[in-house]
Amino acid sequence: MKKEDLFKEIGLIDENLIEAAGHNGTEKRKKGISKKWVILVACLVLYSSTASALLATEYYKNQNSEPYIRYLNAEDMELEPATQYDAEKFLHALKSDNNEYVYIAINRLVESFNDPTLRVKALKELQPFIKNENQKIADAAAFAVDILSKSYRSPYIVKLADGSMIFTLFNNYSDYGSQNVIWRIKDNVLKEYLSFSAPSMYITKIIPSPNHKLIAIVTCSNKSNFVQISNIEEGMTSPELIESARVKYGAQKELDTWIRTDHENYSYADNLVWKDNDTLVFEGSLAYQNTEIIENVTVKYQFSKKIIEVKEKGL
Amino acid sequence: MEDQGIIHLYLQRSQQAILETKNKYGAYCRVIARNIISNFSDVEECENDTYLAAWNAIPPNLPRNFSVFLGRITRNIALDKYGYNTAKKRNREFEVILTELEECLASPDTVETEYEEGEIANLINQFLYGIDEQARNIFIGRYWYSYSIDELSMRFNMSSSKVKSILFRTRNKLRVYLDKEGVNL
Repeated sequence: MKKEDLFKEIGLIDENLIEAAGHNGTEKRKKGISKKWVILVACLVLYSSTASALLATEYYKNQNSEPYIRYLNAEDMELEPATQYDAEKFLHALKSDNNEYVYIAINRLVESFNDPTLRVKALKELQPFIKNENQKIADAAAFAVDILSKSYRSPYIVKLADGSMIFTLFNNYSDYGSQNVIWRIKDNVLKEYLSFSAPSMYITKIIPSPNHKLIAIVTCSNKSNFVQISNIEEGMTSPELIESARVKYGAQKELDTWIRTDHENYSYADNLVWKDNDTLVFEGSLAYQNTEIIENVTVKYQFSKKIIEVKEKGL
Repeated sequence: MEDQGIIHLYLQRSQQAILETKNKYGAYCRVIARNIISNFSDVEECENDTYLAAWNAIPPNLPRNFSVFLGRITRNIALDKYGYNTAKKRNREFEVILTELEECLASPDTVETEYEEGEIANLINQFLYGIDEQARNIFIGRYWYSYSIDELSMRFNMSSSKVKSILFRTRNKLRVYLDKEGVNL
């Protein structure tokens, strides 16, 4: 049976159930520097750069005579240069009659941020899309214009204590969340900061600590939730907290806690709250034995001390 | 106008029946269609096809619940249109709904059995009556009305992760239930 057939069969379920479900739910820092020091530093820089260049030349000579591959990655094995960002392609795509192309182009044009000429050009081309009748396109355009015009008023932008900002693109493009890439603007430069590997396919939430030094990042697949805390300024990230809680609580309760090769945990987090600038608390629904056992718990994690506490909910 | 009055107009072959149906259930049919297909003109076409199908079906059929009757027609027409659309034109959110349902199907190496139309629906009925009301309504909201996760979390006043989790667990239970009943889909 195909999935479409199963969907059709569900269409034939009891009328009373359908009507009941339809009615149910509520809508609800400068100090002067003397010239002597400047000359000395300049000489040192000149010396070290010449030495580095000579060493590098020698290194590459040796490299060619004796191949040494430090790390094999898929792109290198293709023997092709990496694809460069091409803003013109996305500007051209804005004229497409395919809404999906337009939506992708609008989001990708945010990446033209670092080139002043392209940024102004993209801004001009994006303006009309703010009033597009397709809400997803209009929202994406409003967000792109907010970033490119450097207004930074969007609620999707998380402002950090060090003055930098982080955000995601393709915000809420899916039922499950946004694109799993965190972008950062620091010192007026946009860079891709962090992305997540499978099964974290979507970014659901980014919650800053009260002093905006730490962020809790919730990602998900269509089966599991994942929570991490990151100190963006210092480049430190906590372990994944739901799986950590699952393993810890499983050991406490002597439950079988197998880790799947696909890293799905079939568990989720809810009501994430920063108790102070260092402690994140959330409610977890942890699954064991292929979801036969569900444990509802409260998880508390202290980032600086790396301490995780998992207690049965309500205790 | 009451549903019985509209059905009476169909029985009299009065074209006013279509107008009254559109006034009362036009928005309802469009929501069901829009959750399955994204193209505006397809949704409009779907709505009109629903009225035509109702016109052809009454009589001889006398719907007991007119809204569900219309919803079912819209759903089937929209699903057929979705199938005709090329991959690029398809509604991605509905694609996710179908992918979720795939989890209830047996693995590809299992030998499938042929089932008559409605046979599996009866088993799903029994399964749905056996689970708790909230999980049941969320399941029907997702797989009958094709509501998005956000919409369901708003309707049921719970976080989207909780909705996803309830759906996942219900799908798991359904797969186990069908398995126990000896059904190989």
